[in-house]
Amino acid sequence: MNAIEVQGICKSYKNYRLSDVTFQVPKGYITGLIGPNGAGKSTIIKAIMGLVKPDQGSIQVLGHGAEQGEGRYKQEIGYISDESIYYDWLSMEQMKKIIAPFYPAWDETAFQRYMELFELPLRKKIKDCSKGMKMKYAIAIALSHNPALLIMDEPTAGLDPVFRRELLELLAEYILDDQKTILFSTHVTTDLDRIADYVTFLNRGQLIFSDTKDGVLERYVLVKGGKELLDNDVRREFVGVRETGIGFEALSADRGGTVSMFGDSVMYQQPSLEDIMYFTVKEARLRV
Amino acid sequence: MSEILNLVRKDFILQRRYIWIIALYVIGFSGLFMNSNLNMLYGLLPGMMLILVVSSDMRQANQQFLVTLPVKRSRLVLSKYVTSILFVLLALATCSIVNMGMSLYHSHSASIDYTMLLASLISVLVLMSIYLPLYYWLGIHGGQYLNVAMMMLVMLGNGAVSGIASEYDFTNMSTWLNSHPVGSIALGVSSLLLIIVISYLISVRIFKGRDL
Amino acid sequence: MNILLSHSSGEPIYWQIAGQIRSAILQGELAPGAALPSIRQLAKDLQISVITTKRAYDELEKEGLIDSVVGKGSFVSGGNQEFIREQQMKQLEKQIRELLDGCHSISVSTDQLIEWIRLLDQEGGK
Repeated sequence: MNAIEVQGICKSYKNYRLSDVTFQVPKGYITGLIGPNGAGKSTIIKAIMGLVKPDQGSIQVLGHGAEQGEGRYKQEIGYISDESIYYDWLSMEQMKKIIAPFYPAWDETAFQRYMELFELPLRKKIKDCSKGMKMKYAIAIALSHNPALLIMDEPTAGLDPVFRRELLELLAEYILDDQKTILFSTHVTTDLDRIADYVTFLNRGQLIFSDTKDGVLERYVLVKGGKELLDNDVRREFVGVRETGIGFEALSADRGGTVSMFGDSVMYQQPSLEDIMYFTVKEARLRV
Repeated sequence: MSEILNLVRKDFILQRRYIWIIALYVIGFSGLFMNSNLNMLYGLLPGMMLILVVSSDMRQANQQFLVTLPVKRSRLVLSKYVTSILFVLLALATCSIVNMGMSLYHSHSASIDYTMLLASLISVLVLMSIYLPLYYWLGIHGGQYLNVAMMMLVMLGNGAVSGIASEYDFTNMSTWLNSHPVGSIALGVSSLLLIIVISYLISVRIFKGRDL
Repeated sequence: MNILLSHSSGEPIYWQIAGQIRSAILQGELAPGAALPSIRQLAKDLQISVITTKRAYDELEKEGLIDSVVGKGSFVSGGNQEFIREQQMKQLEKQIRELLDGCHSISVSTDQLIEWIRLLDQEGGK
């Protein structure tokens, strides 16, 4: 079962375009949408939320078509934008009063609990809040209507490390229910990559991969070795190579092949998602 | 239906911050302190309210907020028309009360300048029917210029409307009106409604195609 | 039972979890029939992904050490005492092999090793 199905999305802008992006967000799991700035993560999320109309392709959210004019399917979504989208001259209490009636499942007790947990003063005006507080407020609002799907665009931007950890805890608690799904986008992969079940990687508007995180991490391997081992044929085996005066570091997307090719002559390491992102993005830049 | 109510309620919450400005304006031009003519109320207040209502969620971020609510885009547009009309009516009701109060104060008989009221209502609703599609079409950045243009139009139109209302030779028209009371009212109301409905449909079409 | 993960050891996370639950079962710390934490609860407590945790449980289930009942959770397998004994022996055998390798690398003969073990056993028995 998939919570979201993105099918062949294309969207052209002046400076870049999303070309034929297809992926699924499985129900009951956490999916991370990763990629550098400008990869198209926000555009995809906006298309899912009906903010942006794709030129081509279709999106299904929880079994409903996510057409741009539609609203119903958003009932089940807790959306957290990368910037504050609220009327910032209102207090957090006033803003909540505007939002709550739109959601039949609104849970006022839960809302009050989150506000207390996040130490957010209800009377404070949104414009007087720090970036972190605004993000916490958005999270409190999103969780208080008990959504089946949580969509977060760069949720950790502007958050201090302490709250980032607390957020991980909250998300893990939310996903204890196997009927719930989380999709988040981020360009800082380190803090969320631990809890993500699936990873979808976009670069320059194109899908690089969409797979289980464990599968991805097992497929890739980081190789470190002496420069004399590198020639053009060898280079072609890698996703990306970083050469220095004292050796090279390279990412391979075929662990088995690489190990049988180099044997014991190089050092192997488990790459992080950040390593995978770095080498892929770097190589794509060189090719342009 | 309840979502329209919720959206209208939202607009009322948002307008609270202007309530003092409006109150001061009304008191200022009521004629209590200076010899003001009613053009400043009938002519300007409804237009001003209209602009305030529309521009309260003009920012792109706020448009995004509205679209992420579980409401169809067409309903968002509809609610904007409903609130606009409500606020125009509210403004005219305020004007009428002031008008009545002042005439009671000056001549000891409560009367309302119906010609003014009607001229103002019709012109503001026509204005709204042009303003809202433009607002959805121009979007956030153009919207600010649109507001300035609107404000100027309201000011200029104010003179024109009151000019027409006071100087136009109504004799022929009122004779015609008197001979066909039902027909003329029906014609007037239905053409006004038609204009608003067409305006709404255009706004929906524009807003549905807009990326935020 | 405690599960302690290292994110820098290079050993896959699922493998670490399976290993620690396995040794808890083999050492009798987890008795047959004992309930294991639910997959999602464990993922939450360890702050790792659900799929990784699920994989560890799948591994243990394949080995016959635990049983998973849909809707009820996972339990330490009861009907497989023989297998557990066998696993314990296997683990011991692995340790002995390591010991032998260690002895050979510093030229200690097998006889010397056996003598040594006897000696330690008597000391330990006191």
